[in-house]
Amino acid sequence: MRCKAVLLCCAILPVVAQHGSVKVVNPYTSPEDLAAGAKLFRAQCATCHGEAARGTTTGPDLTSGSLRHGSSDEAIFLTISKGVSGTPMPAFNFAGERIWTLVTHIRAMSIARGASQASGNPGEGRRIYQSAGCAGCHTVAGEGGLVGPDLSDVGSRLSLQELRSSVLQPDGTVAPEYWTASLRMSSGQKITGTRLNEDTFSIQLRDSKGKLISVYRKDVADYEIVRKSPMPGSGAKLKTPELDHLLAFLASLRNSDVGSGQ
Amino acid sequence: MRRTLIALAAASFAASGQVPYERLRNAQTEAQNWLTYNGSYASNHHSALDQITPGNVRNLELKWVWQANSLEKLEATPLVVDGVIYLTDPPNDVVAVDARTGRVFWTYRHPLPPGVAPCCGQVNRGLAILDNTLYLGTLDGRLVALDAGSGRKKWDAKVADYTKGYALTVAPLAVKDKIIIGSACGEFGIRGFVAAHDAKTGKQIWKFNTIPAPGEPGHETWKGDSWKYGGGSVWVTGSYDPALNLTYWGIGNPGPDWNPYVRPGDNLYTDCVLALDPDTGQMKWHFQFTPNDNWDFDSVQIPVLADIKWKDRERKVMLWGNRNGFFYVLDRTSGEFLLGKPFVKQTWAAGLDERGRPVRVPGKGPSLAGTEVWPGVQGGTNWYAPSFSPRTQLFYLTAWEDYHSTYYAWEQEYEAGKWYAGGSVRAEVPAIRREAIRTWGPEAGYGVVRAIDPQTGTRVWDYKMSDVSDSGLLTTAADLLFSGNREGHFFALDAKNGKLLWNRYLGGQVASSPISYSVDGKQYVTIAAGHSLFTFGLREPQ
Repeated sequence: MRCKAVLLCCAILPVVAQHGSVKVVNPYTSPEDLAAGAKLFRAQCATCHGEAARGTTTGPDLTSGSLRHGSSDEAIFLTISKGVSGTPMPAFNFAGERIWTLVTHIRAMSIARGASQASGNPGEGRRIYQSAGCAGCHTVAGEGGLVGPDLSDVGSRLSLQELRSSVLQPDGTVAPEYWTASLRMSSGQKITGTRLNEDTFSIQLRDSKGKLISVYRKDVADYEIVRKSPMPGSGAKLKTPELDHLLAFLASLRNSDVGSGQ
Repeated sequence: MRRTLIALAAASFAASGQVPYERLRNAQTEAQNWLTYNGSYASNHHSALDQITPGNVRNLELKWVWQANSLEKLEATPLVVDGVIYLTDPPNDVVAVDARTGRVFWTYRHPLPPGVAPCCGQVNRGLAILDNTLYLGTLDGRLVALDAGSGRKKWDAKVADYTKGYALTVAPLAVKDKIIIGSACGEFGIRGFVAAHDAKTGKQIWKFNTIPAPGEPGHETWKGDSWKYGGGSVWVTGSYDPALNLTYWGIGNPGPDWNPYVRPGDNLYTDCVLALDPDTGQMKWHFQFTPNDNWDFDSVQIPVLADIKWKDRERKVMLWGNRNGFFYVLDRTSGEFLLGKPFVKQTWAAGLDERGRPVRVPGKGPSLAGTEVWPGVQGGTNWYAPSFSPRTQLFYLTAWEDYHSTYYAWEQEYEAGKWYAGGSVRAEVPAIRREAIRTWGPEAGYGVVRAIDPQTGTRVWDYKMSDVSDSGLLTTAADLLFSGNREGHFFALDAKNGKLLWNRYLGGQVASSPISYSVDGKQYVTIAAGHSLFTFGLREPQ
């Protein structure tokens, strides 16, 4: 009977995608299914996605709750079964039952990561975000500066603990795409900006005004990669309630949702 | 109408070239063609063409582009036969293209059954030709014979079972009346092999299992049932020495990749080069580069054959830059180890003993907490073609310098046709380039084209790149060296000193090897980048 249910689900998935009228429910969510999914994940998925599903250089983080090829149960099912063309993600020809146990495990990993709840008031946090000048460098829902990372979905990317460290110790973990390129040209001109790309012959960066700049290495006399965050450590000055409010606001930022601090 | 007929006749003439075994054997005398995956049986990726020189290379211009249907990366090296290019469009389509214009003569489409999911990408590395037939290995484990004139299928024969994880990605090698091929997917717990099939019928003539069964020599290097899914894949084309009548094949890593604790022993014949009799499949000798490998150091590099004066006498040698970070010189008559030296930073071996066996540094095996080792999982080099120039007497290869990974091991049960790696790997540099953006720092590793003196194993010159590279090399009789890289550049160096002479940005990663050919007395160089094949020639007077 259970097998029939899986087959049926597989068969109707495209219809669901088209009309969105029927919600496919994962029928394999028991503790046994979860254990089977965890085992299968470790054997088949962990090499690229990491043992804790936090991603490697080959496969992305699967615990954010916001996945590139769809975050619903059926979207995850389809991504696993069909693969993603043009990426290292192959199609896995597992029985439907086994794919559902993987979906169960991936869901459990996301839930485990987001377990701790913010204690502050998101509305109060939004006010602090604005008054502290965060928006000068960061964007939320299309508004704000370009120097720092877009925070529109930061609540789905980082755990509360990770948000806290990012605010208090901005130099702790700076993603390479936010490193600064500091150049002194042969002409004497100095150029500084966010390091966007580079190859053997040229370096691309974006200055603080958002201007895109490309320089030839042959014209560069001195090149330094600054791995520190330009973000002021002003978060450390926040007292406990203000910090909790700010973290609650950041945790509420989940993609199209612009936060619950209205 | 008449004009069409003439054009058709010319096209079909060009496309129906006969390539008997004698032409393959003497491929080095046909500089205008590229008759095997590696250009010749000696696999030195050296072209005798010399029209494009260090003096005029700056006048190279784009002649044509062929665009693939597929969005998979192009790892195939094309064949060139009398003005026709034959290449594969991933996963398993074949195209015949006019070498002067890039226009397509015919296309063969190979349908794959549902459920074909090879371990490591929808990859194909190319074709073999013998007489008037092209040979293709497919991801569903078939050897397909196509009529070179029409692209029509003559037959297809089962070589391996794709439902158990086997897939054919290697370009086959035609030797005499046989087609030699092997199976990829060492990460799926396969038991690898090299097999020869009758070129006329597809019937299997012999099969050499790269993991010996109970009772066979070498089986004692496996424990328990570990040999049954011990890997030893074959995914890069071997070489052939007609005078010795030996064909040489590099063998892949043992499985599970990163958990050696379940397979104690040397794990023969993984990470070996095998010398096989092409008539019978009997092994004459083997040399193992990395016994009991636990870093995924496949030894599938192309065996480069050279007849050189080595030390005090003329020798038939094999030159090998291995994924494990060491450069080797072997006597290819006997497999005798002559020389071995690291060519990139490596931290796993204290050196090689007098027989070429690595002296392992303790504590470098993968672990649950992770173990950092140089070189990283993609190795000091990998499957892309090196080159040996008989003119400069130098060996050239693409190397990943100062590159490392953190290797993890854990227990895993074998399941037929499923991923079986027993661990994981982290490295800052992605195994495959995914986007055109590169932001990691130089400490993650970088790419070099490196020239090595086979007499000493020492470096003669380096051409340093910002990113790592998956491009093979081509040297020519004008002492040019062509290569590309992951950044998307295609360039020419002076083979004598590594100086950059010419460069074009093609905007897509290079993951194959350049070739050169000529038509109507004009030399061309061709490289696959991104999802297209680019062909350059000298600018002509207006």
